[in-house]
Amino acid sequence: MISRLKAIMRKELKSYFNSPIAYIVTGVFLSAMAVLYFFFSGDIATRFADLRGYFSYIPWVFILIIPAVTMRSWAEEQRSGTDEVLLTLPFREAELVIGKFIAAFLLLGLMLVLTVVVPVSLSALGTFEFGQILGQYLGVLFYGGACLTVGLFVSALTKNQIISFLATALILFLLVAVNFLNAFITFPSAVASAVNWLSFRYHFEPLGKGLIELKDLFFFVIMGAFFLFLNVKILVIKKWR
Amino acid sequence: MHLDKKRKEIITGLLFLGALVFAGLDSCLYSVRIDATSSGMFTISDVSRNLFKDITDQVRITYFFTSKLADTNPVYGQIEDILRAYADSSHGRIKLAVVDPVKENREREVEEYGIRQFPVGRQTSEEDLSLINNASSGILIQYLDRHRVIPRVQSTDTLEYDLSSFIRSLVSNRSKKIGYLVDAPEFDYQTFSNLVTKPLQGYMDFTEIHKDNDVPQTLDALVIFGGTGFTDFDLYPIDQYIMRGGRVIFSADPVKIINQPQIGIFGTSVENAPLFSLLKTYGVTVSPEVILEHPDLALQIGNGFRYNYCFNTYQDFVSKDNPITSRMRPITFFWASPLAISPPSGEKAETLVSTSHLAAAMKEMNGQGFRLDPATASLNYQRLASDHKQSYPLVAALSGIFPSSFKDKQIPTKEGVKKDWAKTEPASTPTRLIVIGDSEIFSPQYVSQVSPGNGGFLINCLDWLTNDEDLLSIRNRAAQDTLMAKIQDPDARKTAVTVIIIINLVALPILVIGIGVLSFLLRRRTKKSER
Repeated sequence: MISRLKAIMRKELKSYFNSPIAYIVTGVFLSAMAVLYFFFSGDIATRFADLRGYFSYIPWVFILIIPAVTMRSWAEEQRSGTDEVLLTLPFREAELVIGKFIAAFLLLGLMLVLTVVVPVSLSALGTFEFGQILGQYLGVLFYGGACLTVGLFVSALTKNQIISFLATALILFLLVAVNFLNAFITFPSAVASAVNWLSFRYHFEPLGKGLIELKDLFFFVIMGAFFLFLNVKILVIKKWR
Repeated sequence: MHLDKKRKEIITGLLFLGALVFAGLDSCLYSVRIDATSSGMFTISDVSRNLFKDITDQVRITYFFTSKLADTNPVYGQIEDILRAYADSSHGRIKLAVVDPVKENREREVEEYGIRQFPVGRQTSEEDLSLINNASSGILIQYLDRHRVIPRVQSTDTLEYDLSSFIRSLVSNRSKKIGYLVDAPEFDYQTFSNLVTKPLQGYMDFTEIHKDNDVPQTLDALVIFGGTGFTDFDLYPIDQYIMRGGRVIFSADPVKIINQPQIGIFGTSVENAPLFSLLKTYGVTVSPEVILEHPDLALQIGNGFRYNYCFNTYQDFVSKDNPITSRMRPITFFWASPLAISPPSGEKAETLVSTSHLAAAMKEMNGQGFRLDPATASLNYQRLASDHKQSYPLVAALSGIFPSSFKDKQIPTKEGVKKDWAKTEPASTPTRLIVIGDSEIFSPQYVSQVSPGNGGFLINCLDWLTNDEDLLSIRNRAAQDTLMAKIQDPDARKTAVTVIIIINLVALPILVIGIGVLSFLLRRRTKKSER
């Protein structure tokens, strides 16, 4: 199973790095984060030496970056017809889905590794807390992982990359911003809690400041597992057809 | 066969979804929280957590906060974090609301609760500074029909302590009764009220005690500012208050300061004041000397002058074991006198605060008083320190059974005043005293100007005297140290920030895209050569 996963992963990573997509998405991601952090967060001198401000933009930036990473995954296979070949190969559907997910996750990991330049360069201005930053990166990885599964699932539903991009962005926006409803509508407390529970941003907020709550990590694992499961089921249904 | 496979898929699918729902519910019920910050920024102490057990109805905390303030200082975000930590740890017993009074049209409420509004400058661009009028950062804590207010919060230093002590007093519905007795002619009552009594109202209620009146035994503690003018007749009720278990802070020294423009700063010895005999009975002698501290610790006045008679004392010179001083900010002493501590049997004494090992002490010269002018301070220090320097105790904490200063003596009398005092108690029940060799340490006119830490020190002393030691174990949160302000020089700082922005905004993305272009070209070349 591991060798099959590796094979799919390798194929996916190759497709990311053989096209300009990985480089462009990474470059845009780094620039967007830098613009937001350095130009929209006030004077650096009045900020604490932590990356809280930086990570607070992650949920919003990921709304556009994650779909760009995942839009090709299944949509391109379907457009070019390689999905049928894939489904006839001796791979289980779950292996195909997980292999693609791991490849996208590794690309995301690489993008995040490059953001380490921010605290390293800023350490000339202040002393950063290693533990807090580590906690924040852990949170972003869980959050990003869950977002990727949404993108992969949506990509499996269509053969059009643009539709895949837009639909993923829309779903992510809804999942990120759903808890704003509580600011405008007074729900009964159980409904308000459910609305909060559904919100990706609500669960990311503590992680983004270095407060690791197991329930938030679990939330992203559960969401990720749920969308991967749906992705697998989409493939199974396609196979039956 | 096909149908069987479908059924199997559906069943495993449903089981998987069921497991996810179960795992989700389980994680909500049994979550673990790890605060990744080394300072525990998002964690409140066990003392505060234990408070929640006593809360039967919900405590409502409202943080009235002008949201524009967030751009002026990141500390406001940390204030909100601590408040959230309370709400999150309380299992629903504390409810937090963050309210922008302007946006939510609740400015009137802010005014009614006495939350202070203040103007703040906000940097909108490199050159432009806009003013936020009527900004608020105050906390209202409500429980049943009672409430307490922290009128203005601008730091997280003592926030947890303030919140926990206020919640405790709200829930228990009892405030501490503190008496204060003033023997200082220039005591600024208005400033004292603004700085100490009003902000603590509800947690500690202060009442002025006049020396002609008795000291009510119902007081939880008594603070004596000065006292060198007290006669035995004035001191007797204080001694008997202590003998019946009363707890007292003495802030006194035997050098009376006269600060007049015509003659400069001058000190006269009042070492024969009866107060010092009383303190000696309790085990503390206040020497008729004035401390001169090393210039590094001395207060800076005027054009860079170091005035060695007024100085700060830091963590290095305080007891780390006693809760009063273990969480203390720097405190400032003004013309302090050294203590000699020799507790009688049955009593425990501890030096809470000392000078540095480089301090000197000045004695009165031939009965002519002390010349304490700024111009001669440095010379006097050098002269005395070259002769002898050492660490001098400045604050002592005493606990145990104290002998009465009036034991085996006649009850003092005053002509024309008749008092119905009961018989003299010869020894106290177990109690606590604090002696500070400085009558100006809590003097409002000095505290308000130069030493905000002294007010906190007074509250710590009162908490220790009145037994709230657990609250004192809540540590201070010194957040200011972590600002990104390592480079102070504005030009160097601007250059550093520009370089950092170029690296992150331009160089790094270009490098990534450049690698992409390079690998594309390499691939194309390889393909061409293969063809």
